[in-house]
Amino acid sequence: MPATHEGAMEIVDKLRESFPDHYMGHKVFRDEPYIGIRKDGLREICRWLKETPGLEFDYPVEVTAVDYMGDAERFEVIHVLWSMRHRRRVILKTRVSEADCAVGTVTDIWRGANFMERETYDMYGITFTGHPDLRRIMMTDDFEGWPLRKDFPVEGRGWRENYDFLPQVGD
Amino acid sequence: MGLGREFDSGVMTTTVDAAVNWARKSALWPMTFGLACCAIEMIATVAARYDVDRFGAGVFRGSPRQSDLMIVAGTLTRKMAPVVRRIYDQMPEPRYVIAMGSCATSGNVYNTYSVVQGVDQIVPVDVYIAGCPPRPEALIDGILMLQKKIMEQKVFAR
Repeated sequence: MPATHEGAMEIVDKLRESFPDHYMGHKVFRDEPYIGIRKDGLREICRWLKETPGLEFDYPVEVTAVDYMGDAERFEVIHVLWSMRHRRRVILKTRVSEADCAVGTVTDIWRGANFMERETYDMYGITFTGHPDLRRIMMTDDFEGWPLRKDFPVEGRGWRENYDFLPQVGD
Repeated sequence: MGLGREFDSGVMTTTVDAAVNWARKSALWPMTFGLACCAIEMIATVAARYDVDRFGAGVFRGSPRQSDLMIVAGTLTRKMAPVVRRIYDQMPEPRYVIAMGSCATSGNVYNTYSVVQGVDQIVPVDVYIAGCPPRPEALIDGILMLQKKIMEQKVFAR
């Protein structure tokens, strides 16, 4: 599995053979495979990528999302994985709709995904089912809304200018 | 009864205001408080090359209770704002605030969901320093400006 176009295609082909129902498409950019998968297969594929000899993607680099406002399946959840043994990267892309805004968690596969899933939840409002502690991580608990969604107003919603901790006249 | 010649050497006369203000401006102990990249410039200002100790403002304290000056160095988010206010409240008077850099002054380009648009919404600011981040020379200029301001204070109002 060398770090070449062929090496990337090797990963894609293996995944397509093992999960023909969940595979949706792929592209290879700079010798790295970007694989689109159905969200039902995400956890299964992640576990397979981690445990299959010859792949062993043991390091979750990034869990994040992109908002494609206007699309039927509005959000794209992206998992970037790295194999320390084979020095290969793979990027998984899953689409979720706004109505059913949830994907399975991968925290039981890689514990490092915990905070990254919380961050994605905090910024986009995407639920990770099965996450042990899905709370906001950057914004405060009383914050309302999902700041990185495209329909969130750029200049804030009043929360930014609400300084309730300041001493008031008459205190 | 006038003063005799015996006080000629070693004695000078001044006003209480001038003496107290001189003492205050000569030992401005800043709070160790950096929020973002401006803090790096603040560190450079304290270090050997620029050496803000020349102006008596180099004794950075780890506690607001021992500080006279808060240099807000960096982007202030709404989440951090109550902390900044609490640190300011813990400082003994007389206390001074320098808003260092465009973020602390006005929020800079970060007109977003989380960034406070200038620390003057949270605490009273004495000196604003422009720059992103300001060079150490600019911070020193701000400190000198603050010292000039302190010298014009009236300590004992009649």
